Order: sequence, then structure tokens, then C-alpha cells
Amino acid sequence: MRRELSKAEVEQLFLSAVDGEALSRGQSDALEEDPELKTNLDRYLKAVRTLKDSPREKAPDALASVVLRRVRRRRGLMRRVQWNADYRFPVEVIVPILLAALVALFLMVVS
Amino acid sequence: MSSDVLELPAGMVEVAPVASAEVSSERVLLAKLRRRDPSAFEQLVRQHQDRVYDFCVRMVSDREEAFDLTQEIFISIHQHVERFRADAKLSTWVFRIARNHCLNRIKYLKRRGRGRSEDYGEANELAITESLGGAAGPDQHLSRKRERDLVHRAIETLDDDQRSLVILRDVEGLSYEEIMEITELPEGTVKSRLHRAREKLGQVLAKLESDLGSGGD
Repeated sequence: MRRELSKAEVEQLFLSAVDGEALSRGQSDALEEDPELKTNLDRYLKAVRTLKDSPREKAPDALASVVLRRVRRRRGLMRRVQWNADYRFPVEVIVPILLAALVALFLMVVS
Repeated sequence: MSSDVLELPAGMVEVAPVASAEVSSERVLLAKLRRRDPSAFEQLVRQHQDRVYDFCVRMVSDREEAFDLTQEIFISIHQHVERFRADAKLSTWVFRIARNHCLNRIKYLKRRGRGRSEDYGEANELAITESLGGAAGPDQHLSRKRERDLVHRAIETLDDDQRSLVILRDVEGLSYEEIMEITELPEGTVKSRLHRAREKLGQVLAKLESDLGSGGD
């Protein structure tokens, strides 16, 4: 009596076939005894072959120069941002000092 | 006097270290990239642009979007090269970034409706081919175009995850280990999703081919 392969066994069989691994005795027997399984496997292998053989897209010639130009522009922008960060007026120091001075002045006037 | 050359034990054959040469040249490139060497980045772009562009076209089925996406991917690589841990191949990391960008773009396009160009339409196809300096004689061009269209239409029927797995394994030829690093999925999951994707592709391709065949009668 022909034993039907489980879904997991069919998956293993099909993956092994694509990966070029040797099939086990049970797998070979299942293929011989089940024409539908063989048809499905052939269709599966044909799909993989079609993908492998499909023409590849080539990147447009302009792509590399566009990328490099954007990176250069970005580098220039980052340099300007860094310069501003290094030489800017330290408002986070001056403002609290001014506020503290105003509060001190207010307290002196009130007292 | 003893020789300085280490003699191999009997039966061992010295093999040319091809793999280690590739690894060391990749390490050199990575070191230059981390030092922000512009020529290193240009080398990286030129080495990988075709594969990345092809991957993007197959994922989003739109050449204009793929062109923009590929730029974004390389800009992202440039920004984050310090984060690359160097415990994997550089190309694996590049594909990981490419896949993430493609999946995000697909989600964005689904929310918005569609990409900017027609969905792999003939008018756009011809315009793009002509602008790229387009190629062979009419018959060869037609047959290659038909084959490419067939594959793209079939791939489009897959969900995003399945699509990326099939492209990484069957088009790019990456190993299961590399795909596991790119997708962060366990091996069993990669294999079962890949299997389901291929099954679906087989059915879709068979149907498309029979539709084409019956259309010619």
C-alpha cells in the first residue's frame, strides 16, 4: 500500500531536490509511486529554474554618481552643523546665569 | 640546519586560500569605510549597485521607486557603517539594509495607493529601456522582456516576506545561513516560508504560461 507523504515530508523532499541533495529511499519511492507528486515537483523545480535564469536588472549608469553626489553634499552639511555646534554662543550657560542674576536682583529690591 | 619552512604532514595538500583573500579584502574595505575614505565608499557602491538595484526592482516592481530606494539604501549604509559588527559578510549586511528599506517602502506605497510609475506597464518599460540606452534586436528584446514580465508578475503575487526569501535564495543564491542573518528568522521558518512561496510561484507561473499560450491561439 502506497504511503502518502506528510506535508513536512513533501516540503523536505522538494527542498532537497532544489538544493541538489540526494533523496532518501523513501522519497524516491514516493516519487515513483505518485505521479501527481512528481508533476508538482517538476512544476516546483521549473519555477525555481525560471527565477534563476530570469534576466537581471542592471543599475542605471547614473546611479553611482547620484549616490556619491548626495553623500558629498551630506558630508558638507554635517561639517557645517558640526562647526555651528563647536563655535556657537553657549545659550544654555548664559541664559540660566542671566535668570539667576535677575532673580537675585529682584530679591535684593524686594528685601 | 633546520629549515624555517613548516612541512605539512603526509597526506595534507596545501590549498590556495581563496576564501581568506576575499575575507581580508573585505576587512580592508570595511576599515577604509569606517575611516570615511570616499574611494572606499565608491568601490562599495560600484560593487553592489547592480545586485541591490535588481533586488529593489523585484521587490517593489517599479523601476523609479527602485532607483530612489537604491540611493536611500547606500546613503543609509554610509551613515551607519560603524554599526556593522563584521561578524558577517559585508554583502549580507547590505542586503539586510536593502530588505528593510524595501519592506518599509512597500508598506508606505500600500498606504498611499501605488508607486509613481505605472505598474510595470509597457509604456513605462519602453521609456526606461530607451533612457538606459536599451539593447538588442526586437525579437531578443521581446522574448527577454516577456520572460522578465512573467517572473515579475508571478513574484508580485507573493507576500512581501515570501518575495524577499525567494529573491534572496533563488535569484541571489544566498545560503540559508546568510538569509537567516538578513531576515533574523530561524532556519525552519526560512525553509518553510520559502517552500510555500515556491509552491505558489509554480502554480502562478504555470497559469500565466498557459494563459499566454492560449492567448496566442
